[in-house]
Amino acid sequence: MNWKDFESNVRETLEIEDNVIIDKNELLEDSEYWSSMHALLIMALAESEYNISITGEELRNSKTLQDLYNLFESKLS
Amino acid sequence: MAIFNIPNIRINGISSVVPQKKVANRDYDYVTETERNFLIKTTGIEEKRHAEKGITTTDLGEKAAKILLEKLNWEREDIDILVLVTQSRDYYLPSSAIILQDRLGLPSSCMAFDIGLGCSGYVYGLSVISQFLQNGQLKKGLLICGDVSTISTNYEDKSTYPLFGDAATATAVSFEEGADGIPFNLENDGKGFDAIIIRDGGAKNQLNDETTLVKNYGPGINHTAKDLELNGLDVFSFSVKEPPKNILQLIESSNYTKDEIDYFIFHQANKLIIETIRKKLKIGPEKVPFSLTKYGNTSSASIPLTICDQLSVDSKDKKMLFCGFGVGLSWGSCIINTKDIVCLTPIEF
Repeated sequence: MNWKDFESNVRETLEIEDNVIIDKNELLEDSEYWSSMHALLIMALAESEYNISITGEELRNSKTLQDLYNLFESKLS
Repeated sequence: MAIFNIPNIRINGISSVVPQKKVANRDYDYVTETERNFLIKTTGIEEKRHAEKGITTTDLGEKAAKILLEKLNWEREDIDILVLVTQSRDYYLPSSAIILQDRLGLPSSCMAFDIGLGCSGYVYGLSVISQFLQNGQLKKGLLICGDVSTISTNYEDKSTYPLFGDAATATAVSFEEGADGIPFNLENDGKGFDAIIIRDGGAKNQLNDETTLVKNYGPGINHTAKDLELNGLDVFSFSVKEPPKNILQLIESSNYTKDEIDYFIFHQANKLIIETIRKKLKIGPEKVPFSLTKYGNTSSASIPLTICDQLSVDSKDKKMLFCGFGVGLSWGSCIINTKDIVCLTPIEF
């Protein structure tokens, strides 16, 4: 997994337009592309695209997109 | 491991009843239009049915049972067992199944009891009633499944209100010597007991002055302690992890292959969960019907309601895998051969 692929998958999953610059250190709760529903989509992405399972606790502890990337990477390694 | 096979069982028919009142999520003005559209797209739930005040699972189930008995030409006195799966029974006690036994005109020799399960309840209920019927001492049974969940969802809780609808179903089950066995795989995990919960009103937290106070539990999530509370992240995580494993175990242990299964009928929790499970299992979308678009999450009624709504004209001689999962946490699956089953399209109450 690399950041570029991850960002691309997240962009597609959360329907973030191409012209929007993603700041991986922005707090998710401050993003207009983040809500409880978006969190579920990230869980679905993990299961169906990466074949990894993320718990609710792990997702709640992820504050930024970088945290999510680190979480995915740790699960895959 | 609770993997077992029950022989000599035939599923004769299924009926379903939904309240007449439609509640559309496009009219759910507690959230913004953007959020509303996103919610509908993600959950797949466009509308659901709400029972009028005072109408209960017993009422809906009674109607479902009556139309099924009539269609099958079953005599009341031949019914030996009635099982009601519900978490919204009429009274704290007695069991609603016993009330139904009387209202359906079933004899007192027909044993009747409730099972207090929700979204996994159809599979569990089938296993229980089949156990009683498998050796032929009892011949015919009725399994009633359903809930009026909307009495427990708070309009100001976006994590529950748009999701749940009301419905009840009846399934006729009978002893038939030599009929294909039904393999089951049933599991549960009490560590997740509070992932889906109504906190007050039981023996642990009896109704008190605080029970009806509306409290905030996060953005857009306000409810009382007598309302349904749902931890979306934990429920989603469980739902896409455990049921697929359970299904693969069942298929492998019962010597089926995925290709042999004509339809996979999943509990209708929400579209995202079902699609994630489907993709994990690598099943084609044509094998996974949905009824949640019109009815939402109807608890233990959702699997039989989906069959009635989507497969009533294509239900005979099929191998169907049922998988229920949810409150408990509880989950399970089974595989049935439908033979000449009678499936009635849903009717309104």
